Amino acid sequence: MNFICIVCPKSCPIDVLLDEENKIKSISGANCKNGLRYATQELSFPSRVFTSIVKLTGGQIAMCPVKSDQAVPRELILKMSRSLCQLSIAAPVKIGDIVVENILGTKANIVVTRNIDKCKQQTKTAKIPR
Amino acid sequence: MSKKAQLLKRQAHKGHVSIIGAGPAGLIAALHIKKNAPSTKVTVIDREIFVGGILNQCIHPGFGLLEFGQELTGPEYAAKVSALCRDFEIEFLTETSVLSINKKLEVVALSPKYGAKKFQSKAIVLCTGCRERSRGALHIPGDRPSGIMTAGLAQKFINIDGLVPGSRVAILGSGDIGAIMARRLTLQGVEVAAVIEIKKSLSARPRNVIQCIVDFQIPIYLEHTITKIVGRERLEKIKVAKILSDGRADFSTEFEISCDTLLLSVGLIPENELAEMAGVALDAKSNGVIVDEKFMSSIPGIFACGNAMKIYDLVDHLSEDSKKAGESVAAYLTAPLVEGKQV
Repeated sequence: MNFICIVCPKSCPIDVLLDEENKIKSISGANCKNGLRYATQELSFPSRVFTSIVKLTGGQIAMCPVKSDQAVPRELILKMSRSLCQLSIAAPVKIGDIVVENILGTKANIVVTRNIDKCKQQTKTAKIPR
Repeated sequence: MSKKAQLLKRQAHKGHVSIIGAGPAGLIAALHIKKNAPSTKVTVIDREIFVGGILNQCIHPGFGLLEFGQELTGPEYAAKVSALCRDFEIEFLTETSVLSINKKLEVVALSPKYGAKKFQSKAIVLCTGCRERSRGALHIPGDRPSGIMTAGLAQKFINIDGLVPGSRVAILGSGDIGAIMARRLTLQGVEVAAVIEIKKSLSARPRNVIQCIVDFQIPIYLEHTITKIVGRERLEKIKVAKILSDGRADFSTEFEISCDTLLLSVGLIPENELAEMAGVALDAKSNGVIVDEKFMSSIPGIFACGNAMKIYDLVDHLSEDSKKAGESVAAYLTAPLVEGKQV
């Protein structure tokens, strides 16, 4: 089986040989141990770091960027994104602040990825002229 | 040291550097100027409220693997670099637009806080970044409804302002921003109907193709282009056709894709209106500032780095070069004077 490693921008092509019982016989093409780990992971349990936004009140911007602090199962990403729609957090926030603990039972936390101060003015919202 | 030599040395050190643009290039150049020439006054000017430039809207991971050895998102990378800047005395003028620069190294800037301001600089560093190619540059025939925008603009709408641009989107071009927006839109509940690419393969990096397009099973049309845009007020549909080997569209293969939004991800152009105004030589093909090995442009004292000089794929490479640019600006400012001229 062939993979392209997505760990770093080098994008190494990785070749995985499987035996009759679908067990890994050999892995070639990876230039580092991260690539080996990626290929093994991708075969058994594809996972990705998830990034999205949540609503922010009291800050100078309307949305706060967030991410999962570890890779989460690929199948859950859409569901995860949907579950964040309902959320709203209040400024000030700091990088690393936990928004959701153990999201969908994955052991990953959703954490803030931007420092946003509290703002006296109201959050900028778009006004659509009628 | 004679009195005259002392005086000359002091003058050389008493430089004031204006850096235009507080994106990664500007911040890192400022950092390394200050590191290597501590007595220099460094002013970083940016028209936005926040420093960090485009990084702030690039909320996806993949930054900083080479520079910091860990995978960061755009805002985290920006925060890391601006935290490094905080250790030095660097002046930041945000919400300030530079109106013009000239050969005498004067900078005219405008801000709601200070009004118009003029700086006499010893050196100017252009870190003005780039713009996306827009519909006007592509000559797509058809109507001119609303709902057609560049991928980066849609990225800002969603990630910063929380505004979703439409409900069914087609993306023309398969650059990295286009691929990343295909994923962002899908995650925000928007249907991505197609990614249309004129070439034989997608132009985004393989890791973005896998994580953003393949993972979410987004339909890809290779060797296709848009032949017509249809819509009165709002975009209604686009007509798409296969490309013949000579580059023309094969109209017998034309089909329709209904969508209310079209994103363009068809390349970046260095933004160099200010450089042009001052008479800095630009590359005719890429529109980037032509620089020598010291990152100096055709005008002595005006330097350029970052996307304003050439388009980078990775911020880590940009940071590496901007560091070199900062160091050579510092060397230029601290160089001894010969007959009143800097060498």
